[in-house]
Amino acid sequence: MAYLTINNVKIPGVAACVPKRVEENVDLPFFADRAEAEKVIASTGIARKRVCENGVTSSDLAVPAVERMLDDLGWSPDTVDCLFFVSMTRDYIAPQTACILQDRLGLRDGCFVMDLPLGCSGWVYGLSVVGSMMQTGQMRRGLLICAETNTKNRNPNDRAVRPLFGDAATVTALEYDATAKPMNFAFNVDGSGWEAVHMPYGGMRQPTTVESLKEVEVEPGVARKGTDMVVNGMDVFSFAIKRPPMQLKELIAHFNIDLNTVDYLLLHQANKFIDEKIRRSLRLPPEKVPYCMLDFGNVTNASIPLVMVTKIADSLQSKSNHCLACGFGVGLAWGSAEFYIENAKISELVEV
Amino acid sequence: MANKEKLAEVFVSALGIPPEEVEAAEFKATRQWDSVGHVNLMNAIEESFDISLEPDDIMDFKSFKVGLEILGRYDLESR
Repeated sequence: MAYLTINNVKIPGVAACVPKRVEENVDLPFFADRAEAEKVIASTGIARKRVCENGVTSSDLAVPAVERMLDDLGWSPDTVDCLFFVSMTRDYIAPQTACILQDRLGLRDGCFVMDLPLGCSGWVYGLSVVGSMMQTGQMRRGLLICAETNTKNRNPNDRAVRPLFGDAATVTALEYDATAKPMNFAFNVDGSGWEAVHMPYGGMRQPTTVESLKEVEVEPGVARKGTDMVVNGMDVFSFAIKRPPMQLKELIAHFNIDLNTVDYLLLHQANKFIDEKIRRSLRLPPEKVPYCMLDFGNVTNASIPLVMVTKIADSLQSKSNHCLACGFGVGLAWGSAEFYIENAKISELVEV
Repeated sequence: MANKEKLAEVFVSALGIPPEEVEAAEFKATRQWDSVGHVNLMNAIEESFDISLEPDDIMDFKSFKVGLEILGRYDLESR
């Protein structure tokens, strides 16, 4: 277990942007009938997702979210010192999308920018990276963008993934503040499980070939190309119901956290069955563990901030909130955090 | 209702398979019992029997026969 404490950094704002287009799970073609679709919705807790149009990238979703948040916070773009873009659906393999965003957002050239190609653990890992960069005060304002167009690298004829994943972009503002309460983190990784979620072709190990672009039915109801994301549902399921709750309990014990003082546990929105297992293992009441998966599905690294924007904005804007978060997935990597959000600016959801 | 019959009904309902196929049902071999079907099935079992399955039991629950053995370890009589 890797532990980390970050001082002097607060979260003054969060914003999110989703596509306007809605895909209802009851309408998906591979379910035998409406009854089967409704069973899947009941067990996963996911009824619909937002799906972006062809040609729209995760950075295209990120720009309106950042612009809204900068406007709401009254931050001029040239006051931003660092930007991190967490995504597995970047615009290009090279250059990193963070460089393109520096230009599109009008950030100054004296800005530190970097891509972090992380999945569902990405918001927690990203928060630790941006916070670490800022805690000495040399950088005073930072942006943590978590954005993903999951529907673009998952096959629409894969019934194991299409009902689950949606598209979204979020931005979390961070600011140096010597009075900020510490953020505490715990991290784990198990690279032996890398095949649980992976894209076989398109990297340097197995470059794209003509053959890899052909769609193949790998099992009944599951068709994909070599360049599509493989999600081995049972491997992910097995990992997700065991390791994240263990890590949260170790975070709580290591940092001597009183669970009674915790206002919210913000979980990666994997699916309802998994998240409810985690919630029950910590014996937290439902009102302390908000979900937005019903309307947005699993939006990987954008899940946790999207819950903040769509489910608990009023609370985050009006008082001090003691929060735990846990992100878990591709890698396999998982991270947990304890942090406070106090009177933050939570922008209204942007739809494009 | 005996637990075996109750579990069989849950299999029929959650996986959408005919009753005569329940006893031979196995993960992956039964068409409807894929990873999505498994979440449906585990969710339905927890609701029907009012239990919370342990993670290892959820992963070991790979056939009707094994599932019945697993359920035997839970305190179902008092529910």
